[in-house]
Amino acid sequence: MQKYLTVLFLIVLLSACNNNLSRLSKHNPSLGLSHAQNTESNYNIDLSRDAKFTSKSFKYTDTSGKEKFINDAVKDEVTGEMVSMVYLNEIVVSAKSQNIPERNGVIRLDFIVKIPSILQDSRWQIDMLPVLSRGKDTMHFNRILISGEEFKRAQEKGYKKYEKYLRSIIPDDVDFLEVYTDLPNLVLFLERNLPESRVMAGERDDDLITAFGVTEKSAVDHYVKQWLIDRNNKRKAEKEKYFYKYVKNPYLLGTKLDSVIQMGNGDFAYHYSQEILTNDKSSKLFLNLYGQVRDINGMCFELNTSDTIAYNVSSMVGFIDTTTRYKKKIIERKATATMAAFIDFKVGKTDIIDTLSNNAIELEKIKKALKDVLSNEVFVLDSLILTASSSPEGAFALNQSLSSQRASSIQKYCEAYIKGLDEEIVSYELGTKNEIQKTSPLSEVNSLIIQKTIPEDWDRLRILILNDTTLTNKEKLLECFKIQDLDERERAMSSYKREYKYLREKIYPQLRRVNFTFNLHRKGMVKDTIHTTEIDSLYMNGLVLLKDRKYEDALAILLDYKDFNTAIAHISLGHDRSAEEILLSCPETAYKIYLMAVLSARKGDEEQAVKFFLRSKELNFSMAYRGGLDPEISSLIRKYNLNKDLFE
Amino acid sequence: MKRLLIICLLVLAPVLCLAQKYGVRTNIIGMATGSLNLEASLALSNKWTLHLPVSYNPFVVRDNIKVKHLMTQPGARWWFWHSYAGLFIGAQAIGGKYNIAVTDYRYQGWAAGMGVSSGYAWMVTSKWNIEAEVGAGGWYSEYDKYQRPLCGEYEGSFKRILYGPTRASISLMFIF
Repeated sequence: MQKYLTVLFLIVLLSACNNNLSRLSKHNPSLGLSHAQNTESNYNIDLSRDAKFTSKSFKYTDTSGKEKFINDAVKDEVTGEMVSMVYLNEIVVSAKSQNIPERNGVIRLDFIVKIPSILQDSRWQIDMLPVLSRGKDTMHFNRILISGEEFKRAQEKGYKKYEKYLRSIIPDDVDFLEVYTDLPNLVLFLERNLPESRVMAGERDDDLITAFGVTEKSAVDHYVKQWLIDRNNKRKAEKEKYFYKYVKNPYLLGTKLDSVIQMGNGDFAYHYSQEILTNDKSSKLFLNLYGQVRDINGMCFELNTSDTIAYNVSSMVGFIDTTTRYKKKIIERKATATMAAFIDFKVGKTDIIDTLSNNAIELEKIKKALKDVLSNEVFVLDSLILTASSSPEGAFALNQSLSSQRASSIQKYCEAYIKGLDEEIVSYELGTKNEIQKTSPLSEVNSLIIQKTIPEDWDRLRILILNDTTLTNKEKLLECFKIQDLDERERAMSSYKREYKYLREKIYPQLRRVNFTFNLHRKGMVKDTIHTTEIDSLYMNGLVLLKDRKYEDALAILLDYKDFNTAIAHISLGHDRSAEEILLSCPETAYKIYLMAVLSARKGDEEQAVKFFLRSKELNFSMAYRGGLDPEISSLIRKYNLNKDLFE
Repeated sequence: MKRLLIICLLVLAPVLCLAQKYGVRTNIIGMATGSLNLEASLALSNKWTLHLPVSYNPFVVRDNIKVKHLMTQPGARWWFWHSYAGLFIGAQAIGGKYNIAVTDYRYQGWAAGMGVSSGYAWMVTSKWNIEAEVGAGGWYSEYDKYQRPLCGEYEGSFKRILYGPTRASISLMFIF
């Protein structure tokens, strides 16, 4: 009987000592989460769900059909009359959400985490994880760990035990023979029975055999402590199992705070501040706190999720001017294309020889250009001006006749080619008449070819001499240009033997050329210029990025436009000066003046900021409410009581 | 039978044997109690050895207390691991004559029998072993019993089979 009583007593005693986690489940505690003070809070009116008093009032319809209302009644002390009384439900006001600004693409969240004293125990660790939800995404912040002293000590002891276990594992780099064999006996045995063995020196010879037929291998194997090898391998394999056995609470990394506190000194509060980058879903943020309590033995108690607190993020995105932008495009009617071809002729000759120097390539160039122009869909040939020029060698009169003859032969060449394009589609227009005449292109196109000659191209020579980098004695050569008579001039220049040689070899060939100038106009266009508008899609892309709060990318696109939206991008990134510059040239709107107020406030110019703010309110009264969302303006509103007209 | 043959071969021609191992040992306990003993042994393979111990005790302690004997216990051992190293078990034949007077009586006669033993050999150096062995067995003995004092009274003759321990030794062995 007495035995049972003692057992019962022990059970009762043990259960009374509920200094363990299970007592938490009775109290159902939760962590406290609230907005940080000294920041603007938005107050929400919240109707309390259970009213202390229920107001009893009911309707009574009497026999005549009149409705009567029956209420609670009390005696009015002043008049002595019975007055009906209705109890109203309690109204509880709580701070639910907070307005925070977004600046430079970054939002700073502040909140206070509170650990009630019931959760504190020297043998416990409280692990809190703030979780932010925006839109559908959740973001885990770094956790906070608050440990008790005993907990920390037990944690460290666990690690020490594990380290001791690790040290008991024989490492891989030990001498196998020394550690894993019964070395003395092995040595003696080998000395006695197998003296030729070199096992001690590290060499194994599996062919060695004692007189009695015992191989070296079997001798060594007999003395190997297989049990030790197996035990070591087992220990190595079970490292992880033993880790979890000894270390019941491993160290947690990635914490914002990991500290040991003196438990039991009342509630513990921690001000958590975290910056996050904005994205397009950043207008409303919700924050929750998840918590766990762990004790020394590795048991874990999951706490109720704390209340959710909300943040409203205000940004400049609301000011974006979303009107479509158009690009102006001016299309001209006329166009000119030029091309130069270097055709070489034999000295004194005027016929085109396609095997001479580069002529083949240059002639191909000409033919291709002609074909491209004549078969072009967009443009039509008005006229083609052939300018043939020669180098200054020789007498001027001779050069003159040679040049004109050479020009003629080139023209004939072109005409012949154009004739050959008969089978292809050639479009052209005669003159600038409105009617489009499609006649045989042969003679008409050839009539568009105009011939010009420059017998001795001195102007170009002068430019080439000036621009040449290897020519010496340029001044002397250019002096010769003062001589009016061209033949004399040439004689003077040829006196500079070396330079003249260079001129003849390198520069003169560039003067023997034919210049083709194609004068074209756009097919079907009558007016000289046409203005069209098309949507500036690049700009609109920039606006989309801006709305999505991708400020850097938006600015990259909008930078050159330098308009109101660019200013918004600048402000959001903190480029106050650039923003101001642009805003000054923007038209006066309520938004623009409001932004000027923000910029002035940021600069510290309170007077200017207030003035701008009041003016923007005059233009658009809703700016008064917007002012409450931006911290720069809201602090001014509070200081100077700028919004008192809201309540009048 | 095979073993008997081998013993004969051994006695006849030691030259026939190639790389054999020989050992001689002496029982220290025996030596301490006055029994001069020597045992010769021969390893036949890595598991079997043959032994031939001889023990002779001529001493009288005092008052005619003596354990005089001349005894031999030829036998063989089977080694669990390798000859002359480790655990072994053995079987012997026992034979000899004795004149023992320890208690009030003196027994004189001869005995022949068999025993089994077991022991362990520790390798000390490549040539020396220390062994411990215990054994028990049974033997047939014909002896006369006298009163212990010198020329004591004759008590009778007996022919019995006796059982008891046959070996208890800690010995030092030399192997070559």
